[in-house]
Order: sequence, then C-alpha cells, then structure tokens
Amino acid sequence: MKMKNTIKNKFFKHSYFSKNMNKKGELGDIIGLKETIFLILNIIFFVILLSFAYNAGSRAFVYEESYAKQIVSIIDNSKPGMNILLDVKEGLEVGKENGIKLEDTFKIDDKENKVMVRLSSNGYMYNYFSDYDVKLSLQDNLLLISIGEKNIYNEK
Amino acid sequence: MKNKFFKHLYLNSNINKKGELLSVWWIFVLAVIALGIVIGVSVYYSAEVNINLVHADILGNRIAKCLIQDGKILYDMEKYDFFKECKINKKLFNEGDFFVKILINYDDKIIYDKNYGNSAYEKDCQILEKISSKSNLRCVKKKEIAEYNDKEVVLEIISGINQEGGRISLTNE
Repeated sequence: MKMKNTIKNKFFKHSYFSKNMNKKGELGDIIGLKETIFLILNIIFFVILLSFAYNAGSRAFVYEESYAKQIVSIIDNSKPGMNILLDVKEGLEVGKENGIKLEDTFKIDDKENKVMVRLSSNGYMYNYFSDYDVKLSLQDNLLLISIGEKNIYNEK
Repeated sequence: MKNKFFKHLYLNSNINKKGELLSVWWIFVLAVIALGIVIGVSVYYSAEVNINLVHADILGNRIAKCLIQDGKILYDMEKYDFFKECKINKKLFNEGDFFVKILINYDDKIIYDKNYGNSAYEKDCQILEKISSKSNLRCVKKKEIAEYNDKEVVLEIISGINQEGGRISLTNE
C-alpha cells in the first residue's frame, strides 16, 4: 500500500495537475476549477476551428464552380439528342439555405454559350464551346441536361 | 536570464502560483493558430480547379471525330468549315480563350495547315510541352492516321484552352 502511494506521489510530482492536489488527495481537488474552465475553453476553440475548416468545403462557391464545370464538360462531351441527369441534391440544399429560388440556380445563356450556377448571391459562370441547343431543367434533386441541334450556325 | 524569460510564458504561469492560465500570451498563440487555419483554408478553397486540360482533350476528340469517319477524312479541307461541321461556337473562338491547329502530313510534308482561334497560343503550347507553367493554358496534341484523297496521311490536331470562369453578381443578369 505504502509502495503504491509512493509511486502515485512520484507520478503526480511531475504532472501538470500535481500542484492542485491537496493533502487528502480528494478527486475534486486534483483538477482545479480554473484548469477545467481553461481546458473547456481550449476544446471549444479547437472545435470551432475544425468545424470552420470542415464547413468551408461545403460553401456555396465551391459547389457553384464544381457544378458549372461539370455541366460544361457534360455538354461538350455529348451529342445532339442526348439527355443527361446530374445529381445536384447537395447544391440545391446549399442554395435553399442561402434563399436562392430553384429556377435561378441553374441557367444557360445560349447566346454567350455560358452555364450559370447560382447557389448564393454570387454565382459562377463557365463557357461551353459546343454550338448546341442546351436546356436545363430540374427534376426533384436531379438536373436534366437536354442536348439538341441548333438550327443556325455561324450567324453570331 | 532564463527564469526571467519563462516568467512570462504560459507554461510557467501554471507552475507559478501568481500566473494566470488565460494569459495574453496564450490568447496570442490561439489567435495565430486561428489565423493560420483560416488563411490556409481560404487559400485552398479559393483556388480555381483547372479543367482546361480535360476541356482541350474533349475539343480535340470532337474535331477528330467530326473529321474522320471509318478511317477517312470526309471533307475537302480547302472548303472545310470547321465551326459548322464540328458544331463549335465561332464567337467564342474569336474572343481568344480557345485555339485549334489542324495539320495534315503526307510523307513528312505538310499538305494542310490551319489555325483557328487565338494563334498566339501555338507557341505557348509548344513551350508547355517542354516546361510546366503556372499559366492557365492547357494544350492537347492528337495524332490520327487517316485516308485523304486516296493517300495515307497523318492528321495532327492541337487544341488549347485558356479559359477562366467568372463570378456573377445579381446585377449581371
């Protein structure tokens, strides 16, 4: 028993909390209130930082750019007559959180050959080179990309 | 000297009965960590994903597919309208972010050579073959063997794209 106490004392002698231990060695006094609050505040600080880093990846601007580029790649890689479905569930949720109307989220500017994605007050646009008649429509959480023939070429 | 220095540090403040746990130093350390993480995360996510290489590859494939069918070049190249036949937007090429070069070689002689879009990228594409660059331009070179005017020729297509997407605000629409 004596041996055990000696080892324990030797351990606490070097530990961070040792100064807070009273002679009776009660558990409540091993870690003082100050240290507990300090520890909790530090944990809160790092949790906030980690959640910031985690949430940064799900910000609207990341989705806007990635969807716009995906849609452009799909359009330029397809042929007239094709219909492609793209899952945009996560993007729509982000847009909804930012108060963007569903009809404003995915748009095509066929005069300028641009795909525009808006999931926040600032959207993102990217050019596709194909002279196709492209239509975008939302079907629940899926975006339908319809590729058709354009009647007039080289008139622009 | 050493003690004087450590007197102000957080670690010492735990040992020192007079010391405070949430000292100015500790708050400073936390602020530096927070600032570092915020800057790091912001820089990482604000960097644009460059899909120009994939896009240039798609463009090259499109041209090869529209020119060659069953191993033959379908068009009389002198009358060939690249934009019409391959269904590619001419206006976009005139704006300067896109470049295409079509070469036809027969017996190591160039029998057809034409550039479309921003011709300045021709040299840039040659440089990019040799050295890596931070430039946004990406080029893809394709070679196909095909039959043209009853001759076996080598069709070479160089496609380059230097496109950057843009942010749009509410007033842009």
